[in-house]
Amino acid sequence: MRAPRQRAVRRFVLTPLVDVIFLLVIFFALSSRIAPFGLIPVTGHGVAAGDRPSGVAAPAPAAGPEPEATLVLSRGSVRIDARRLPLGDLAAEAARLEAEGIETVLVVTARSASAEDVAAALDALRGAGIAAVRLIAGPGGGADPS
Amino acid sequence: MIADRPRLGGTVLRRRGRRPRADAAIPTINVVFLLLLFFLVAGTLAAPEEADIDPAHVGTGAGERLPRPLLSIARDGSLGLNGKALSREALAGAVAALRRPEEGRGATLYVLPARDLPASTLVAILGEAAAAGAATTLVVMKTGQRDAGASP
Repeated sequence: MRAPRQRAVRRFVLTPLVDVIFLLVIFFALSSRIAPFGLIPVTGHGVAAGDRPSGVAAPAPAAGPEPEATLVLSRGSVRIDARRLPLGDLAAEAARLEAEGIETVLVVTARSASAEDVAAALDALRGAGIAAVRLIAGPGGGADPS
Repeated sequence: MIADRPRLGGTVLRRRGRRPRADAAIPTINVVFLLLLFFLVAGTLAAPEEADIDPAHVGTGAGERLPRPLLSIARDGSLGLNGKALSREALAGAVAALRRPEEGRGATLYVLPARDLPASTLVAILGEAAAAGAATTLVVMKTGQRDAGASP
């Protein structure tokens, strides 16, 4: 920037504006998440009897018919009746269940299951159109880190 | 050297006032401004502890912004409600207080678990939130390809 020679022409100075904008960019870049999130509604859930922390009232059981199929969820795989299949194949299996007329499913999480497995299973069931899912922590799965 | 040419021509033509040269930083500013607009439009503000959580990945579903009220569960089971740390004992009270303002039955509580949180902890917390009167919704990250079911 050179000083004006003849008259004191006041030029519009951009530098402070740029500084502020740059700070704003840094702020938003650091403090916002731009990843797309998916939302999976969880309808009925309960806690297995042994896992409930003392002093917490038992959640009301989800109203509805008895579950017609039971899925036992462990890390990366799911067991339906006696068959164990990888979690990636659950979508096709859920579509088959739905075609058989099964509308309510009980999902029991084993000890090794993680939140990722729960999300994948609920997503597959929802994708197949099975809306009534009850989610229950299985016995022995109640290792409570807190 | 190339820049000399117009100035030379300018002196030949005896132009009155020198045309004010645009600031050389303007292209940079344009880009920075576009960046700012991008983050404003596409991003959602998240508390630091929410940004630390690596959520479960699921292949399908529509892309959504980070919803509120958001209960984040870190992989060690520690809770945060809208970015404020929350003890497990205070969860029921906090959830009950959430539904107070809108007087509706059961506000929706969005739960953002870390992907390797034990499912039993997740189910227990979901059960406590439901017992306190909230409808719960899991928040997961949407990925392009379905890799959630890959066996380890």
